[in-house]
Amino acid sequence: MCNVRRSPFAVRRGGSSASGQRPTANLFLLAVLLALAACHREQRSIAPTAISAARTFPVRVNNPYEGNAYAIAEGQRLYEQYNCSGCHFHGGGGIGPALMDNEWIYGSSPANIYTSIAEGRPNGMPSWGGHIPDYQIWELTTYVRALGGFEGRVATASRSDEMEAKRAEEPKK
Amino acid sequence: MPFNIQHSTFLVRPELQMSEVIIDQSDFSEERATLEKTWAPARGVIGWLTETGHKQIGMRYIVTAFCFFVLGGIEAALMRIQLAKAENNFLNPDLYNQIFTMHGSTMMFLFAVPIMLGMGVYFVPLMIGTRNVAFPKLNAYGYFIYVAGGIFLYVMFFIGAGPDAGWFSYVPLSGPTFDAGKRADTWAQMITFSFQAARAGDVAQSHPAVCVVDGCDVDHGHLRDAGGNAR
Amino acid sequence: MMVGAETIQSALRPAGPEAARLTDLWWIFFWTCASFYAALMAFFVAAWIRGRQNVEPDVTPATERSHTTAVTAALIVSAIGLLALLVTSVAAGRAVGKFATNSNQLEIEVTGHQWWWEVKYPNPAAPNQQVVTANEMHIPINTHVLLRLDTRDDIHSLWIPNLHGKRDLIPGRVNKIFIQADRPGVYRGQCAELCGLQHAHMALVVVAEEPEKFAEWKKRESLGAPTPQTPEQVRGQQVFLGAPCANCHNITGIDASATLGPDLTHVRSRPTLAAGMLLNTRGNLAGWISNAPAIKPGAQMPPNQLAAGELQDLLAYLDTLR
Repeated sequence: MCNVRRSPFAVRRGGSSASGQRPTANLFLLAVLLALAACHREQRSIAPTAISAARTFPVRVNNPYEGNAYAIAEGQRLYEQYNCSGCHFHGGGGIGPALMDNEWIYGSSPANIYTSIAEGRPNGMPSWGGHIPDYQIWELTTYVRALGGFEGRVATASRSDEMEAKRAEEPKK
Repeated sequence: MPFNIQHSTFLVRPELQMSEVIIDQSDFSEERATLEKTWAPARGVIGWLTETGHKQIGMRYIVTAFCFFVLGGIEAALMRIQLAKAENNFLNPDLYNQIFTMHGSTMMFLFAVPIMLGMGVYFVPLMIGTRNVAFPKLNAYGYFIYVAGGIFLYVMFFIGAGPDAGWFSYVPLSGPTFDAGKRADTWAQMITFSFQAARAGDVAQSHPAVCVVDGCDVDHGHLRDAGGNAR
Repeated sequence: MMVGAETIQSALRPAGPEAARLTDLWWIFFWTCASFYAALMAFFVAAWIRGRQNVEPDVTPATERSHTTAVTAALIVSAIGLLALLVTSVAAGRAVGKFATNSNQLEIEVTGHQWWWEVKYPNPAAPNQQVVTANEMHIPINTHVLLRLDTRDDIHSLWIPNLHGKRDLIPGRVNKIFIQADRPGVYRGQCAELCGLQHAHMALVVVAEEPEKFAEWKKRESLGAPTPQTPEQVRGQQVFLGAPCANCHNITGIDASATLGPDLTHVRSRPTLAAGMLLNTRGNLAGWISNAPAIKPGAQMPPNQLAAGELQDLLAYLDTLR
């Protein structure tokens, strides 16, 4: 449905939009960009391919689901179903470290979090690689990133079932 | 030049008849022309946007509602094609749920409710004999907010964020646990527009009806002899 | 998907007392509404013909009075008709409710999941003997069965038209419904409340059978999984435990006790796979394991990349789970 995603038109307009002499064109560009953002945000991979379930070596650095709302929601479901909340609770931490604060022992980039989930970490974090499909690890990564506040608010759920410590501490803009 | 009341000779209070109301001219064509100019539909784009006549607004409601009715019908046809044979792959489940929800929301909130509103806006002033609804600008505002809600819903649908949790946004399916992204918010925004329009339209047209009962006088909805002066 | 002789899902082919009562009600409504509709259309056509013949209607006080009488009579007849429907409807509702006051002889817990049915036969005396299955429900005929309905995620609605009306499964509360089958048969049930992507493919099969056959089925189902015999089956069990399978599925008797997905202890004894979508054949099972979301987009069972040999071993092991 979202064929406009790679529209060359948007790219061309992007170069000349800074001039500000054509407000209509700028507004149009803004609308297109918003639509593009929404396209990726709302995309749902309801039929993941077998290839996306296989692990890749070396680990890809970029997160394929960055800013994707469905991946965040799926990650949240898996987070409960695979009992991540058993140790990390709903991000506040307990047996395992908190996922909402600014302390990241093994790094906060998507690749770091992916590796933590896939390979496990000392002192209790089990390795999930090979036990769950690769795309689910990326979905979990995206959700954990969202817990940490790294995912844009546009993609995260506007209301949560759980307590949101991070959100409340943020200064009002 | 002060107008003299046309109907003064029919006033039922005989003591006023000759002493206080003096008809000093026999030709009212000038006044009629002024009145007709005042009440004439506005012209041009600005005129179209600022139009407050109840017939025009009512007709816009009806025409727009029928446009949405056609869209809802197309969605129904798409669903019937998918369901025409078992295990069909015409629509994927995600798109099907969106179209299912768009169809229900369109038919209820962008067709059924507004068309009733349009009929009311069109006919109620005629039936009670007023020139317009009590609050014509509120009425016009209601129409535009309704169109905005409908356009918003369809724009969101075309960029992949159409609501997919049923025509009344079934909980908990529409909740944060089961519905990712802004789809439930799209529906909620559309319903806010739609109900705001309905509320505006209701207030705008119900007021003169209340005034018939109370015998009160509203600025624009000045009550006349029934049917006589309604446009 | 047709399974067995009588799987036609129809509210007009009742197989139990509750459904029979509801079917009667349906026909009463149908014939009442149909006769009113026919009468209305007959009057309409008559009026139309008379209107064409008689261009100038004569309006006299006498015709006015007769018209008033006719309209009043029609109004009274309509009101009586509606009232009669109301009374029969309430009476049927109460009668169906009365079946519930009989002592139930069997309790089954039905839990809705996105998008399959978990069916549990609790056994408080011996909890390890309880039967857990998925997307199929066996009931003995002429027995009053209490279904306790609960859901793990979203709102669902259980509808087995041949046995009863719909009953919603609401998160956070247990709903009850009583069913009884009068004759043996296989009846199809379906989720009747939009519950997400695969709502349409959320069916279950109710097998009503003689009490002896039911007892036999239940006894077999209460046993754990058999020990694998051939080397192929042994390797298959290792694949099951090592691959993602054991993360979500339970097999009683081995070290796999997760409850996210359906219990697989007797998976190959069931008539269908994927909540009534596929016939339970070895090929379908292989396809389902390899890429479930390709068959049923949105399904929470992920695709599994197994080597061909591993898949065959796994299928051989699963074949023993009957």
